[in-house]
Formats: sequence, structure tokens, C-alpha cells
Amino acid sequence: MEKQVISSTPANLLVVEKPKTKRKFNKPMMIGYLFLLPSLLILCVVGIYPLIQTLYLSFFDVSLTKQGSHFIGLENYKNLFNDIWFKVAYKNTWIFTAISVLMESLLGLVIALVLNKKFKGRGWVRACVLIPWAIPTVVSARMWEWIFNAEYGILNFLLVKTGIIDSNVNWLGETSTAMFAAIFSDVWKTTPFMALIILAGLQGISSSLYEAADIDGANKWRQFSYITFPLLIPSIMIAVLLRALDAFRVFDLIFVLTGGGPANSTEVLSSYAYKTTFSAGEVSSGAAMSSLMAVSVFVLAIVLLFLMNKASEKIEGGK
Amino acid sequence: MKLKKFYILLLVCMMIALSACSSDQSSTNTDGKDSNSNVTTINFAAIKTFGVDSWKELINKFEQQNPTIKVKLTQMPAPAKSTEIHQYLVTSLQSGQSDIDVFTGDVVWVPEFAAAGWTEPMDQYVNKDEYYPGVIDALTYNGKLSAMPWYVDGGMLYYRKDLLEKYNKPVPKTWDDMLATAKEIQSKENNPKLQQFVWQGKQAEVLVCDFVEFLGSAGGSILNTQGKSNADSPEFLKTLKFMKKLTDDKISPKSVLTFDEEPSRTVFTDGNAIFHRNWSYVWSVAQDPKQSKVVDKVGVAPLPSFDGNSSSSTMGGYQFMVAKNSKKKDAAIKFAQFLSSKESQLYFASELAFSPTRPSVLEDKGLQQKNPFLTGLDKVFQGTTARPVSPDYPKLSLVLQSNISGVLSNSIKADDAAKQIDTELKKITKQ
Repeated sequence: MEKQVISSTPANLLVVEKPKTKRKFNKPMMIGYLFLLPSLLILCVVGIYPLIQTLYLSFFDVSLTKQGSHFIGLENYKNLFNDIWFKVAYKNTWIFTAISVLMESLLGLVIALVLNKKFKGRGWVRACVLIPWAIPTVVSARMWEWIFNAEYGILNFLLVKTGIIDSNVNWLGETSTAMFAAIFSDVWKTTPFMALIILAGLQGISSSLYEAADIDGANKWRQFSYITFPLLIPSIMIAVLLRALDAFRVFDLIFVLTGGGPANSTEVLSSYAYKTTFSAGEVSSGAAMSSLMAVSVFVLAIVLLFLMNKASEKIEGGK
Repeated sequence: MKLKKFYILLLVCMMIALSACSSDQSSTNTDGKDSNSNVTTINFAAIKTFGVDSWKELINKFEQQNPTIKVKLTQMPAPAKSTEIHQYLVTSLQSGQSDIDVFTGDVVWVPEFAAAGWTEPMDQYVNKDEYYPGVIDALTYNGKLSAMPWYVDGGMLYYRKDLLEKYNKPVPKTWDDMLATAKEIQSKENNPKLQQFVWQGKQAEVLVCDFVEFLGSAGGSILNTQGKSNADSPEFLKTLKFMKKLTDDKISPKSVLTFDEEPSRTVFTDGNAIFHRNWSYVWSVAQDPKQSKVVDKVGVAPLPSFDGNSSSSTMGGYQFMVAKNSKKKDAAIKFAQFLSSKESQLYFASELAFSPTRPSVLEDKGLQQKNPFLTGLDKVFQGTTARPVSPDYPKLSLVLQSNISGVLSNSIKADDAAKQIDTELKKITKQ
């Protein structure tokens, strides 16, 4: 069955059927693998080995201030399930990931659509839009720390001046608003990234489709929902996948902006694992947390990839 | 085509050569001396001090007295970022590398670092009688003195003496008196920004320091004399409820929950607080017209207490430690001794108002003239309360930080927090 390639986004290539050739172990293939070997070795040393070592460490009771260690099996994991602060961190991480990725995707989509249109100075706007993404997170977190400052921050100043609120809000000191402040800072920083990926997807959509739609008399909204959006789903899903995996592991933003407070309301898995390992010196406990995080991220990636595949198949099937 | 390949090969060779050349230039031999001369270089990781660039002056002085030793300074953040400093030191020290020879550390970390085997015992290099006994006790773990004393600090009450005089109020000795005075002054002053009392409520180490003072002034303690949890005592719960009342009743602004030392100090030196709890450094900052709007309007006193109890001040202060893994121990110990000497402590006292750990320094006439404030604080520092001296202190601190912050931000009830703390402390102290 021939499949018509109607957009050039990478996700589509996942469902293209490969021609079934005879798999002979020939010389070009061997050389190919040999070229891959150095990178694979580096990946193993830098990626796989620490992962396995962390897992191994989590089965002992290594502590920075105790000499010697014993094998304790799954006890660290058992303790984690009874640790309320771990559960809080776990919950916070999911909330942070879900809400920030959702907002970044929506805003990114809107911005990408705007940037796709031809207007004067579009090149400048596209460059400026990237500035939040370019500023190191540690720097922008400090900046937001001051913006959200209850007494001296510019946000409160503007909100009070324009009469939207009548007294200063303690953004980073109230458990109800601190997480919102953290998510807001992350959305500000990462929306450009999402917008860029979606924009690339937009540009892969052939304009002949829109011309055909115009001839058929479809209005802009129908064009969006029947042409643009379905064809964008692969790009959106890639952006969501990359972003979700990053958001789940957020550390620098939280560490600098709130330190996990107030009352652990912004504590996420990575910051809690870091404090456990380096402040409390509980290396094995931290290792158990990191291992659980790695598993969660892996599961998240698999689920998202599965959804991506399903969505792509649906689009292909609909043609 | 051949020429292109040649250029690429040349580029690769240049890159390899460059990276080989720029490798470690400070190679040292095993005897601790640098390979190219008779000079030993030691690495000194030090906290940032406010005001004068004290390290440069002292290092110069030391190098002049000891021409065969050079000191390389690694600047760490200021003490307000103690969590970060702790994590940096822990990461460096546990790696077993010998990158740090001498370093500054918070007094509460000494038992922890000693238990981990990272500090060199100082017993034979120091005359213990020359120091405050309370300090020596706090720095001794398992019978060994594990740090060289530097300065002692304590929480104290800063107040607007001009406002107290204006309304004819005495310096308060009890919390009730202080709250009554503050309420009256705030209502009569025409400053909408004026807060009654600012302190440090951020979920960080300093929160535990403030807590220890409120708790101590109620007659309570975190651990009892046997080292077991004292969190089930009535004083413990009373303290939690008192701290919560401070923000609930708007005696302190809600933003106190985001304050560590500097943000709270700024509110006071901007003229927007009547009473302020902080360390001794605030005094010199408050007298500096470049940073303070309340020059000459500030007074200092021991913190108030609950009726019938005495004032409590958390013992703070950084100390000098020599790394056990140091390859240049002789030079490192010499430098630590220099930093802890009477001359150096006098320097810190007169330039930075760091209170010395040697009582003899406070008897210096020149210092008494220049800084009467310091000499007057002798009483405060004689009676400081140490936080639990235990290698598990960082764990205890994290538990306290989470739960106290929870009470202040209304996510946990005070009773539940006290129970939770008690359970956790019992686990950590293996009761």
C-alpha cells in the first residue's frame, strides 16, 4: 500500500512502512555499526553506568556521615512510600509538569500560528520571541524572584497601581500562589521553544492544501480544524514529549526561585532528592528517589510515544 | 580535494595540541610543594563577608609572615545561603579529593563533618583556655576538637530607639511587652509601610535559628539533655502557635515567609520596621548611610522572652576547619592558626563587628572605644543556645524546616506539626 507523504514532519516517518529487503550482514552495515560504536560507548559510560550505579546504591544504606554500608534491599523504597514529603514532592512534580506543558502548548500554538503569517518585521519578532528561552534559567529565576517579591516586586506594584488588586500579594510566600508563580516563570521561559517546534511543523504543511480548501469554500476555522491542526499533531506531540520529560525533571527554577518552599508547596522530586542526598547526607535514599524518577520519566515517555503513534495512525487512516 | 583534507587534518592536530597544553598547570608533587618552586599553595574556601574585603588583607598579612606559603581563595556565598554552602562543601569533601585545604563552616556542621571523617582534629594546635568554653564544647565531637574557632554570633533584637524614645517606651524584656509597644507605635505613626516585627521565616536553616530562640525563651528545647526528642513538650507547641500568631495577627507581614537574613534586614534599614531579629552583622550595615535610612536610630538588646524565662540567642558563627584529606596539612594548619589568632580576631571585631571567640579580644581598649556595641554584647554571647550538637543535625534541621514552614503557611495545624516533628526526631535519634 502506497502512503502519500503530505507533510515532512519526523513523526510521520514513524508509520511509513519499510520496504522488506533481505537482511544480509554485509560490509557497509558493519562499518556503519563501527561508526556508531564510539557514541554508544560514551552513552553507556555517561548514561547507562550512572543509572545502574544509582539503582545499585539505592539498595544499601549509604550515608555521608556514616562509615560503611549494608545491603537493605527495598527498605529505602518502602520508607519513601511512607514519607509524606516525598509524596508531596511527587504530587507537585506531576502538577507542575501537567499544567506548564499544557499552557506552553496552547500558547506555543497560538504564537506559532501568528509567526507563520507574513507581516512586516516578522524576522525581528521571531528573534525576540526566543529571548526568554535563551536566558539561563538560573538568571531568569532570580529575575522572577524579584518580580514576585511581595514588598518590592514590580508585579505587585503594577497590579496595585492599576487597581486590579488592592494590597500586595505574597506570591512566593503563600502556599496557594507559590506553585503558580513557578509555573508562570516556566511558561514564560519555555513557550518560545514550543512555538518554534510547532512553527517548523506549520511550515511543513503544503500551501496547496489551503488553496484547494479555498476553492472548496471552506472558511478559516474549518481550514484550521481540518487541515492545520490534524497535520500539526505530530509536531505538537514531539514538542509535548520533549517538554514533559524536561518539566518532570525541573530543578534549577525551583531551587533558585523558592528553594522548595513555602512549606514544601513547590518541592519537586529533583529538589527533594538533592536535599536528601546533599543536605541530609542520605545518599541511598536520594538514589532510591532518583531511580523512581527515572522509571516515572521512562513510563511517561512510553505513554506519550504510544499516544503519538496512535494519533499519527488515525491521521494516516483518515486520508 | 587533497588540500581540503590537509587543512582539516591540521585543524584537528591544532585542537589536540591546544587541549593538551591547557591542562592542569598547578601540578603538585606528593610532598605538597609546587613543582616549580619552594612555595606551597593552599586552597581556602571562605564565605563572603559583608563590608570590608577582609580576606585579601588577611591573606596578604599571612603571606608576608610566611613567604613559603601562598593562599588561593575560593569565594563561597554569604552565610545567608548556608544551605548552598553546606551542599557545596559536602559535595567537595565527600569526593575524597584534596582540592580544599582550609574552609569555613557553620558551627552546626562541625559534628557532622567530624563524624564523616572530613576534618583534622585541632586539639594539639590550640590552647583551649583562650576561648569561650561554650564554643569549644560546640566544636568538640567524640572528644576531639574538630574546628578552629572563628567568630560567634547570636540572634538579637534590633529596635528603633528613636521611636521608642518618641513614645516613651522602655526596651521590652518580654514578648508581651514588645508586642504591646509595637502595636501602639504602629497605630500612632503615620507610616502605612511600618511593620511591628520582622524576622526570618523562609523555609531554610535560619528558620530553625529563629525557632530555637522563641523556643528557648519559653524554656523549651528541641532535644532534651539525654539527646532525645523534646517536641512533645507544651513549650514546643506554645512556640509554634506563637510564631503562627505573629503572621496571623499581622504583627509581622506575611512576606516574612520569604525572608532570610538580607530581605528582612532591608525592611528594617529602610525604616519600615520597629523591631527586628537578626545576627550581629546588621549593626554595621545599619550605620552605613549607603545602605541604611536609619543611621543612628538603631538600638540593640537581647531578645525578649516569655514571662518567667530568660532570653535565648541561637549560637551561630562560622569556624575554620582543616580538611583531613589535605595534602598540605602543615601549611593549612598554620593558616588556620593565623586566622584564629588574637590579632586576626581583633581585626574581624573592629572591621566587621564579628564577635570574637576569645574573651581577651573584648578587653582590648582600642576595640572598646571603636566598637562599644560589640563589647556590650558580651552578655548576649556568653549565654548563647547551641542548636543540637549532633552529626544528624542537618536531617533534624530539614524536618524542622518543613514542619515549621507548614505551620506558618497554614498548611499544617500546630498540634499535627508538633506530633510529626516528634515522630521524625524519634526516628532520627533512634529512640
